[in-house]
Amino acid sequence: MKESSLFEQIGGRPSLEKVHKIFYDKIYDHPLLKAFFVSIEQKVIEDQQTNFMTSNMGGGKIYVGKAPKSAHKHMFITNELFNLRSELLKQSINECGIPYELQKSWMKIDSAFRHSMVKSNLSDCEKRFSTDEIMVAPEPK
Amino acid sequence: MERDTDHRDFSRPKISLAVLMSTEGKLVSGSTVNLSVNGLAIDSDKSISVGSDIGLTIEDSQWQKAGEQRAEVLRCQPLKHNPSRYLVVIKLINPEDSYLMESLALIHGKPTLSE
Repeated sequence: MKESSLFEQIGGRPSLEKVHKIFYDKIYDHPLLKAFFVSIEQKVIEDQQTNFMTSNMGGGKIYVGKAPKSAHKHMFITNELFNLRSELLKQSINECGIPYELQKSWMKIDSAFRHSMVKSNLSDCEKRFSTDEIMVAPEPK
Repeated sequence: MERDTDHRDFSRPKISLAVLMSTEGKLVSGSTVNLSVNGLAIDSDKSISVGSDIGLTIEDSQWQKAGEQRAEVLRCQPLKHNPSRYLVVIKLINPEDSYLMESLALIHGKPTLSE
């Protein structure tokens, strides 16, 4: 049997787009996580994430955006917030009917970048541009 | 290409890429035996102390952007088929995004003739 890429096994770009639409619908509606996305249109971030995961799943190196560490350096993302985000991603992948083994592969890729995004202290954040604000999620109610 | 399908988080494609390891002020050359997101096995003509921190650079144009990664030596033992050479197994410490992306694309992509 010919071995295929993870990207192909998952169903190619249409599957990634479907998952990311559901995922960012949840993120943009989440009381804590939506704070990090106030300045970017949802469709833009969906497309970026689809390109990023296409590259990481062996579907071709089409991602030309910033690396995760650099793109998130002005965001105070704690382990708890990253876990919340991971849970929403897992739900979204599951809702799209992706087989369990492939769900695990997807989540492992996502987790590989955890250390690039999570920070222990607010002082670990850096502005990307002089006009940047350091982004912090609101306190849970 | 052979792929290990053990309990590790990611498979380890067998691939030969030239590497440079910096350790205790010296540079040691070698070539990868297999490679993953969190670690590599390297064929080297020099022994490196287990537990030492090293810098690892993959000397391949595709990996140039990845730069130097920090790593810890987990194992170093003579190769069974050639005891004058060593198998050095290293664990990467918080690998850079560019390394992660290159390795993930390799692990999850279709096998190529070079692998």
